[in-house]
Amino acid sequence: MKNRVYVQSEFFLDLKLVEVEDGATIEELKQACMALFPPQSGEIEIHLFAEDDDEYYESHHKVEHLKKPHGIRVHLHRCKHIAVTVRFAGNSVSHEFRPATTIGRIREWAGDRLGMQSNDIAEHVLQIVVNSEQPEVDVHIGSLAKYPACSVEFDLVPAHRING
Amino acid sequence: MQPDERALCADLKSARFLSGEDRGRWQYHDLNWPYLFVNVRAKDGRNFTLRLDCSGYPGNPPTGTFWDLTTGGRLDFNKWPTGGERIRLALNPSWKEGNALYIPCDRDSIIGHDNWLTQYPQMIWNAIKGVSMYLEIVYDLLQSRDYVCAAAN
Repeated sequence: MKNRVYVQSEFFLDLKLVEVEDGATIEELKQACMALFPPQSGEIEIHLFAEDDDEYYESHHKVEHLKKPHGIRVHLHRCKHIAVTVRFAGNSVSHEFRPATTIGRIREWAGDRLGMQSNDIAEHVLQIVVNSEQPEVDVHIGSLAKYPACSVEFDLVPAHRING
Repeated sequence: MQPDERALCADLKSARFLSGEDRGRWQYHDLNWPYLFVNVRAKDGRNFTLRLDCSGYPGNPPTGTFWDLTTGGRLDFNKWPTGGERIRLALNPSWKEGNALYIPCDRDSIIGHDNWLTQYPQMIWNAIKGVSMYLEIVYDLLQSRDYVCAAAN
């Protein structure tokens, strides 16, 4: 049976799809994902991570171990961790996350560390300090940091209310 | 098949659209060109069907309204999602007589709102993100604190 795998990486901006067989190994999945990379990426050491998952998967492990209720979602990055800082109301919190950590999960973590109630956290978004972009909650933190710059800084700001 | 319909059909097979389905955020229902029908999930588990007019896609953004699949007509206003300010402003049945949602990526609502280009740049139509962008914004509203859940039976 074919498995649909959603792929994010530092090498492309948008979500991509690959399909691999049930019995495929992590190494085979990695090779299938690397076929999506631009040709100039060349010979590189790259790591594969599963979304919002702190497990480390060896090359011989099977792809079926990555299955979650919402599908298989992975990230390929040269950094093993991304250093994240979130600023809010004169305070800041920092932590190192795996590149496959979603913006949604980082927002939850930051809001919690900054003493916000869960309902209030959902009414805020992470905004990148250097360009004021507000990445969607499903974006992996690794997509926002290109090796060797393995860090991102955010402001936590209120979500927009459309009026006027 | 015209280029706009072909482009939409391709986007319905895109990673973004399929990802939203796999996450349980929305579900494709039907395509009766130029109308796309998609069920979008609210935080209380209710599904609201969006009917999106996709003529001119993806160069032109879609315009959408809530739809009643049983009557084949626009959803009665008293059945639209309700709640706090964020919901009342964006999902406002009195805007354009209920024929468009008051969000920056809606084709009919952006007209006359040049200020939105700078106020809400991340909600301005982006043809690369495609129809999933519209669905994501509506899903986000239906998951927000301002959305009022259905009363328990």
